[in-house]
Amino acid sequence: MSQQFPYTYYSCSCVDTPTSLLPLSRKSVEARSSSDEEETTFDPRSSRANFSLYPLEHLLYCTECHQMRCSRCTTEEVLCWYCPSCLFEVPSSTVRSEGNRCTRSCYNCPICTSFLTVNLLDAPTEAQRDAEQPPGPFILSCSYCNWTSLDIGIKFDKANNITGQLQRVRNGGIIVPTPKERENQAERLLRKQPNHEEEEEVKSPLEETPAAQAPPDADDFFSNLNSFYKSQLADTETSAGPAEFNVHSPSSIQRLLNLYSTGKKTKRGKPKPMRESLTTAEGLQEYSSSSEEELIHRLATSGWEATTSPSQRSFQERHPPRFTSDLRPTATLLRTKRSKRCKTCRTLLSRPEPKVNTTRYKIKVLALNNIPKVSIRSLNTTPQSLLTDLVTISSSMQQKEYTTLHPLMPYQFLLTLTNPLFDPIKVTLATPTTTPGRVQTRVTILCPQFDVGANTDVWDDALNSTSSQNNPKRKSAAPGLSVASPPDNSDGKQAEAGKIWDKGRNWTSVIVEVVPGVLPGTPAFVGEGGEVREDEGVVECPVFVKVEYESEGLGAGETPERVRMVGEGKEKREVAFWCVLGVGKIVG
Amino acid sequence: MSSQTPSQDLRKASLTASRNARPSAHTIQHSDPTRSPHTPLSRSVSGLYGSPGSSFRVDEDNLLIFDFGSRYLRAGFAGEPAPRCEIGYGPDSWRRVGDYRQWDLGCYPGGKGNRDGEDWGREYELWRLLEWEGGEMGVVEDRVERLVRECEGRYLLLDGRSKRVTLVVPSGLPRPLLNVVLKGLFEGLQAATITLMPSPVMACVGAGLRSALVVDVGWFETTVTAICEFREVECRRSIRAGKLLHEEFSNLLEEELGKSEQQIKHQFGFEEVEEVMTRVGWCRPLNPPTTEEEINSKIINTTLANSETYTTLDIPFSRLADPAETALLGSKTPKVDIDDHDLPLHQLMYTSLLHLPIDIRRICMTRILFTGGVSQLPGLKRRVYQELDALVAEKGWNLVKNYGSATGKKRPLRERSANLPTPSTSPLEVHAVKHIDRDHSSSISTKDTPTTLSLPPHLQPQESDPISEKLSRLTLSQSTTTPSLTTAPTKPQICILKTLGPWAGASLLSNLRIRGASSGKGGGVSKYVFFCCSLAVYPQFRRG
Ligand SMILES: [Zn+2]
Ligand SMILES: [Zn+2]
Ligand SMILES: [Zn+2]
Ligand SMILES: [Zn+2]
Repeated sequence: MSQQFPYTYYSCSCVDTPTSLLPLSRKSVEARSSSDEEETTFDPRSSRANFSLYPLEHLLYCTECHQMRCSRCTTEEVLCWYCPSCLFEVPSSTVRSEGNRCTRSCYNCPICTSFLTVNLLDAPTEAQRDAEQPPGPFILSCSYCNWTSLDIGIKFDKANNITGQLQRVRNGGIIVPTPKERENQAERLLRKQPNHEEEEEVKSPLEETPAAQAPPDADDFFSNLNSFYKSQLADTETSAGPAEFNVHSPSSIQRLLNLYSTGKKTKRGKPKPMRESLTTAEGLQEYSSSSEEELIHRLATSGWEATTSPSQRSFQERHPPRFTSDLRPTATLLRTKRSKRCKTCRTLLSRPEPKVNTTRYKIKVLALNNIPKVSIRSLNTTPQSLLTDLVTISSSMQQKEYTTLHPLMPYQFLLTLTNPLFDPIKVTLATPTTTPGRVQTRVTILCPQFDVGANTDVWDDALNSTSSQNNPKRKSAAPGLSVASPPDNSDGKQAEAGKIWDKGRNWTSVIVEVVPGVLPGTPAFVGEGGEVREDEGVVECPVFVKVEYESEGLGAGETPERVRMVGEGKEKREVAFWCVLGVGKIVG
Repeated sequence: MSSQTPSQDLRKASLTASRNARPSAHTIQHSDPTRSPHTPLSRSVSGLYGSPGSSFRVDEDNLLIFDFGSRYLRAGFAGEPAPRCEIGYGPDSWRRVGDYRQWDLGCYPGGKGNRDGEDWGREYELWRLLEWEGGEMGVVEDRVERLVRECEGRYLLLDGRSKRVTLVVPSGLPRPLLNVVLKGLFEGLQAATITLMPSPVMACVGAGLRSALVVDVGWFETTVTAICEFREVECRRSIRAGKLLHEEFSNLLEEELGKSEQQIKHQFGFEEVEEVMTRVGWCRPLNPPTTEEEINSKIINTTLANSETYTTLDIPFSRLADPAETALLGSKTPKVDIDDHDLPLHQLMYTSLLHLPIDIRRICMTRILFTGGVSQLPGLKRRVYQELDALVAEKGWNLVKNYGSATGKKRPLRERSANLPTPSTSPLEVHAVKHIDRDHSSSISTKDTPTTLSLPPHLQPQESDPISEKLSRLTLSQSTTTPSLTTAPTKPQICILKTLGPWAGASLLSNLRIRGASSGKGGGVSKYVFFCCSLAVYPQFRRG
């Protein structure tokens, strides 16, 4: 069960445009022929459908293209970067140089990922508590799972700049140079190398490890290799000129050889390819079987609990370790605020306030306010009252109604279209008679063509309803409530083909009859048998919605008053999309 | 361009502010506080979007490295030692937006699927062979695009500068898949250019080497690629890799569950099996000391479905080495049953080395690199080394396994090394190789399938083609500059080196390129060209 039944998913129009870089032409294609549509029935079960279906709340709307826009057919621009923990805004230059994590003192627990706090190691005495700067040592600790940085043997002298202090220390309290220092060190080591090349060939590579106290890790090797490659590039550049004549340097040997080879002097300018790295200082890593033996021994003795779980490994910043004792606290990932534009016409669709501590938007054009809302619910259930405070009980009761559909039994559902627009709309619905897939559910919309009123002012509605309707209670007062409180069928109303069920100010309901199909594996099932796959029992009806309306060609900014004025500037518009109604689950 | 718009907006904003300010004195005072603290600050930020100087132009781009594996996507910035993120493909990347079922209580990830069925683990892979044959590429495309977007949105957090992508791909990647990945990067990331780099060569760069035998123990298959001077000379494959190991591990778990006293019915999910495999799986040495057998270790299976309580399952530690024996080393399979497509790792490596030209073999033997996730299995490298060593000691480098009656003709090929042409270093040849390279690489691609030896092995001329001759001469000239590794012994020893991996290799290379190009000197650039001349067939793609 992916969601609570019933639900509606909307298929974004970008789904069948081969490249979204091309202008979208779906609208015109659909308007042209309705026979095409039948051939290309949307299949909610196809594996691609999952990537184009969205709940309406997730969709934006482009007022230029008159299309809904999903995350796939929008482009994003980062407005600001911030740390979700300390709410500090990070300038883009810092993001570039320091990376995508908070560089202050925000860390996450490597075991359970909750935020870590900086605490004093020992409970402070009275005198210390009064002091401006309590003396260390400090530790990072997790209040959720009780992990502390002591578990990996790390203490801090200061309570601030944890990042800086962490860079200098490995697990177990071993002091190591920071990445910057490491790079400088590696370069220094390389610079003096050419003169001692012969001696160093004899030496074992491990003897010249820069940081003698700590074995080099992958980052060390990387910076060694990096500076080695750089030095190799620099080497040929200098050797191109009449530089010092060092017999031992490989470039000189090559030039000597060039002198003696015949007829090839003209090519002397061609640089020699760089050589391979030879020592640890140059980034060469030797493999020793003893390290693996040690690893296996550690594994055998410490067992399952000492090893890291896949989620812990993937939560690490880099170089995920095998053992929990090698885990590092993880700096909090930065987040971004982004503005979104239509990929086709570059119209700004949403732009949040660039300040970190507001959640407001300067611009946000939601599909919710521009596309008719399609909702479905069972006709037999008593509508969920807005006033009930026993929401959980009632919803679980209701869920049962939807999740126990019996095969080959007719069920009636109420399909309601709510119009957010200020113009009345003409709606045409279409659905394939049987749902695609092995479980063939029959779906019939009793009244596929109807009108829905405009989203006018609430007061207009109130005025209208008193004059034209006998039972004002049955009609919705506000647009938000309209869906939740359509009428009950206690008055013995019968569903009739070609007639709408009910109608309100800006909503119209029609009856959909659903006959659930037979699940594979049951006796009544016809066709290729087999097990029921995940979600195969879920009844999802693809429905094609075509909405036509006349509106002024002004876009979204128009006011209801202007719309109601009958004028020359009216423009006929058409919006069409597929949506998927999740009506329930078949029991086997 | 999208990158321009923020600065334009700001400019527009400040313009309108000053226009409003002009008419009278008091409005200036009023509008001042609103614009003064913000505009200069944001100006300096937006200055990043402009071009401060053409010499720094290269540095302005976002240099990104993407590595699409069959199970994980690694992505990050050039010049960094490790990727910013390593996203595993899972069921989540298939779901609809707004489908939060992974947060449901009682929903166990990866618990579904028939283990014997074809769909086992399907959701955890980005593609399968049948997809690009059956035309189901659309799903792969959708997933790639979603992955790229997720990766950018959560980890890369890119600013508006243009993005130049280096894509690390296995050289045998089918073209439709490559198209899909390229499209995903262009569309999802709005990349300006994409450069392709072959992953075995990048593994070489990541080890500081120019030639190596790269053993990539991946998910679907193990590939052994001989790299000589950054060129792929030969590539062989075997299906003994992660997937087979995974299957063996789930067999093992089921057997152990059957043995345990608690009568629990439980079907192990994909992730569950994988967790056991990566946490406590290991590999025995060739002749294991008996003491190690005695060590038993507890395995705690945190989730056994149908039971809300955590149940533990005890497995002897030595048992956890069995799957690797069966799946990767084939030590339980009789030799006759082993086909060309499922050679055990050491035999695959041996066959690869055996069919290499002798000089390239000499070089590659001393530079064996292991990459791929499964190569992290503790003890695997040691074991493969031991097996390979024993194999060489037993058989030597003789292509003919059985001479039959013609035993007298047996002549070790090793002697040939004495007859090799004298080394000559000439830039001309370096140049020549560059041109040949294109045809050469195409010949590799035809060799990709492991079973293309149409001739009987002993009839195959070893050094007949001019390319390998050129290569061998070239490499000999190389060996003068790398004495410690190549020239010393007449009989080279097998030697394993470590690599930082293809991703880090590409990161190094892309980072170098900036320096080389921005220095503006011909030497650096042309060396770079040679440095990656083997990549000539891997073109750079541009948008549009
Ligand atoms: Zn879309
Ligand atoms: Zn922070
Ligand atoms: Zn914790
Ligand atoms: Zn648009």
